Formats: sequence, C-alpha cells, structure tokens
Amino acid sequence: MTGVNQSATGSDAETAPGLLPAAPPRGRSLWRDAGRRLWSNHAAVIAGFLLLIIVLAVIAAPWFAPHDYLTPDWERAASGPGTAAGHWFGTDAIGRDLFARTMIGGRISLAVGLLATLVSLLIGVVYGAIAGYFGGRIDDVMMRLVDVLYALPFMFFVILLMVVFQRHIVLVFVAIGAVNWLDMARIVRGQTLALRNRPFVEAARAIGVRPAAIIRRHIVPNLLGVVIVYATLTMPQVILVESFLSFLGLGVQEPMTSWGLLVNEGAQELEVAPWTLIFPALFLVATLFCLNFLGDGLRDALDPKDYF
Amino acid sequence: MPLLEVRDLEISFATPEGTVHAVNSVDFDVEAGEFMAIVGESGSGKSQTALAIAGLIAANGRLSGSIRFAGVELIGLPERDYRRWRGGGIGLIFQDAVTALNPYRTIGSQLREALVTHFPCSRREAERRAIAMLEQVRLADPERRLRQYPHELSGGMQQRVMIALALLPRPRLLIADEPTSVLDVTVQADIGALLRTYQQRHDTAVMLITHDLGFVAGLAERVLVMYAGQVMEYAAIDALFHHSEHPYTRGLLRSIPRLDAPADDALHGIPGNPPNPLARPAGCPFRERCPYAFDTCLTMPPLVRAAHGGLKRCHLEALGP
Repeated sequence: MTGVNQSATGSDAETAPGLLPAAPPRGRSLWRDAGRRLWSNHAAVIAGFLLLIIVLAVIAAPWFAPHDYLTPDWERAASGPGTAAGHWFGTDAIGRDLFARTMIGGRISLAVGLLATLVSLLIGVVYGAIAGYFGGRIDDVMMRLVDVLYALPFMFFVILLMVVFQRHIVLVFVAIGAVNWLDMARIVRGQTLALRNRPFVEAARAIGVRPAAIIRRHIVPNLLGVVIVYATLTMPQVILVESFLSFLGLGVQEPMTSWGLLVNEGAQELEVAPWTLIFPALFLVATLFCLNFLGDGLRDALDPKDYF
Repeated sequence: MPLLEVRDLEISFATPEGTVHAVNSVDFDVEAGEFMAIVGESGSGKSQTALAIAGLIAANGRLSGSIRFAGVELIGLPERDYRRWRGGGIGLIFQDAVTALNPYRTIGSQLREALVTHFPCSRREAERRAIAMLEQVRLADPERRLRQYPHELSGGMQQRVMIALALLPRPRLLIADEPTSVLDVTVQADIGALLRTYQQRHDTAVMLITHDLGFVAGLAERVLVMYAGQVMEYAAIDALFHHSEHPYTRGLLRSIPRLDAPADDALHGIPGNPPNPLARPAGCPFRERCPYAFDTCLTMPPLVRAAHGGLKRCHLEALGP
C-alpha cells in the first residue's frame, strides 16, 4: 500500500535518516519487527552493547583479573587505583582488590536483578491477567490474596524464610521475587480490566476462542509495553533491596559481595578512600542507566504502530 | 423450524441511574439461508439484540425470554457451552473493524486463529484458506496482507478482514452489526454486495443491523423495524417499502434522501426524539412523535398480522397509500 509506505518512510526520515527501508518489510512477527525497530534506536543499541560488555566482564573478569577477590594484600591496604601493583581500582580497607570485588559483586547483583525480575514478571503477568480477564468473584478472591500478602511485613517474611531454609543465596531471589510480583500483578490486572472490554477481545470471543487463548494471544501482547517498562524499573529496585538485605546480614555474606554492599562500604570510607565508592557505584549506575534506555527502547519497539 | 427463534426477549441493564430497558419483548424468526435486516435508530435496541444472540451482553445486563438457535435454547447456557455456538454457529461482524482487530498481531495470525479454533489444521493449510477467504472478500494482494498489521490497512480493507474473520469458521448465521457505518458510501455498497453474494453462495443466514433503510434495499429479503426496544414492523422488503403499515416506518422511508426529488425539496425527518429508556411512557412508544396518534395509543398496541402479510405494532386499522 502506498499510503502505508509513505507514512512509514515519513516518520523514519524524521528521526533516523538513511535507515528507511526501500520496500515494505517482509517476513514479519511481533518480535522480528521489534528487533528491527530496536536496532534503529541508537540510545537503546548503545545501552544494549554497554550492558553486554558489563555482563561479559563480570562473567569473565575472575579469569583475567591479576588478583582474586578475597585475599588481602596487606602491604597495600586502602591504596588508590593504579596499574603498578595490578590493583586497577585500588584496594579496600583490608587490602582486597577492588576490581575483582566489583566484578564478583556484579555477578550477584545482576543475577539477583535478573532472576528476581523474571520471577516477579512471570507470576505477576499470569496472575494479574487471569484475575483481570475473568473479573467478578475470581478477581475478588485473587486480589484479596494479593492484599493479604502485601500486608505481610517484608523483613518478617525474609527472616522466616531464613529460619526455615537456612541462609542461602537463592533465598534472596525467592524472597525478592515473591514480594515484587504483587506490584506487577496489580498493574497487569488494571491493564487487563481495560483491555478485556476492547472490541478485539469481544471479537475473539465472538469467534469462539477459548479464554486461555484470549489471554495468551490477545491480552498479553497488548500488555508488553507496560510490563517491560515496569520490569526495567523493578530491576534497579531489586538490586538495591538485595544490598539492603545483605547489609542486615540476610543476603550475601563476606567475603562474597555485591554492588549494593560495595557501595555501602565505600560510602563509609568516602573521605579517606573515595575509589571504594566510585568504582562500584559507577558500575551500578551504568547498569541501571542501560537498563532504563533498553527498556524504553523495547517498549517503543514492541508497539507495531510506532515507527519510532 | 426456523434457524433462529427469538421470543419475548427482554434486555435490561442495571445502572446507577436506574434500570435501562434496552429491549422489551421482541419476537422474530430468522430462516436458514435468508437475508434479513434489523433497522432502527440509535438506542432502538438493535445492537443489544445482536449481542444477546451472540451471548456477549455486558456483565450488568439481564436477559429474559427465549433465544433458540437450531432448536437449542441459548439464554442461560453456560459460557463453556456457548463458546461452541460462537464462530461456527453464530458469526459476528463488528461495527468498527479498526478497534475489533488486535493491533499487536498480524492479519494472518488473527485469521489463522479464527480458522484453527474451529478447524484444526496445519499452518500452511490455514494460510492457504485464509488467502482464499481474503480473495473471496475481494481484498487485493492477500499474501502480503497476511503479514501486515491492522493499522497498515485502510478502514474498508480492515472491514473486509473483519468479515473474513467472521466467515472463516463458516457460521450458519452471520450477524453484521452496522458493518458499514464507519465507511464511505462506495465501500458500503461493495460490502453489502459481498454479504449478499456470500449468503446466496453458501446458504448462510445473514442478519444485517443498520440504521439506514436505503442500505437495506436490494439486499435483504425481510426487514424488521425496531423502535425504543420494540418491534414496530416485520415484513418482506417489497411490502415494507411500498405498503408499510406503520407510521414510524413511513417516517423512516420518507427521510431517505431521493435523487429524483426536486432540488428545492427539504430533507424530511421525524420530529422529536426517542423516549428516554430509563422512563418510557406508557402506551405506544412512538405515540408522541406520531402524526396519526389518537386516544387508544395510550395503551401498548399488540404485535398483529398486517395487511401486507407481515407483522405490525400499531392500533391503526390501515394507513392508506
């Protein structure tokens, strides 16, 4: 259709000259289209690459870092960054290599962020979409359960978990995910309530499509935008909650560390050894920035109507 | 036995302002394979009647009476059983295809879903049949359409997709709820012809719902005229157009603009407004706008056999030429 081509090229040309497709794109699915649109969003692409570098560095660092993360270098305790002794980011108060610690802490922080967010995403979307779509009594019962869980104090819940299952890093994921899905469920339910009265849902019902298929194929794709933005907001929050738990001694334990913990320790030594704050904070902030840009780009890319 | 029997259908909605009586005691039949039309102005209850047949009345709606489809009572049927009648039994074309198509999915995936829900088959087979159906609704370049999103098509093309969507499960009764009211007149005629051709070729009953008597002419075999939730007149199309027995239908017919009228002829309308559905006055609902109204009209006229062979709801014996 010529009209479509024109509108597509028109908006492409405004924002990204040189990227406009010559012919209407072929072989389409929501994800493939989204990929193409994401690729032409410079901020998101750069953020994605930076994030990839951070992730790779965090995974590979212990193999190329000159020092490990737990052996104190007594002669160079609290020394500043430099290349001479191989302590690129300097050392902490008891002489452990900050570069190695930042990398190892990144593993924990990213893993917690990713897993807890995925868990809350999965449970929250399924739960919220079901409650919102069926409505009525099912909705009432399901959402009251959410309210009850909300009322449960988070710390109490975590301590309970620790007592029952012993302290274990996986429990941190579970605890955070188990609390965060409540927000997600509420948001998704609200969106679903609005979506289920949209004519295309009614049209699907009129064709005789089963409720499970309507939720999967009609409701959930329309939720993606909101869900992704919320997920990118959840991830930083989760990383910070982890550091809080660790600070209280409920999360990761010394000598293991995480970005949240490193920032916490660094903040206390800010005046004498500012690098102990700056480097972990730099990584944390860069990661959160990248996530936000990427999430923003994904939201735009996942809207088929949005050529930019 | 008629394909669809509607008896004493009443639809009301509980709202904060009170109970809205959208449809009051509606009776009619639809024969298998016939093309019938329901005509009425907005608020006459025609769309709610259609939704009631498809079992898609809003949650605050209340139904009473009887809707029998192929001999099966639909009112009170649990959702799970109702689903079996939707699509394959009763197909529904919505007024606004722009909102009735999922913006996040390609035309192809939506058509495949409509088909596979009723006739499980391979992806390739589904695609082949979707293309054949798009050709049947005369949408140009069907292979490419399958890969496009709804917003990439024009309103008329989207409505054709919507029709294809409703036809793929091969319904025995196709309800078209104002399928053309958002489209321009030339497309409107095309869509009408399309429905007519399909009905004749596949022996599918069509129930066309519209506010435009002019659109119905040349398409429908029988026309049901609704006003304020009541059946006013139900007759064969020629009888209705040439020998209407009801002042309301006469008013509607006169309000169709004519090309052969003198240029200085004013447009005709029916003075006044339909009664408030929250508080309908007693008696004939058209009484206050009817030029023939007399004392007896303060009581509700029964639906009786009229001289043209159809049904009418009017106290007048005859209406003259």
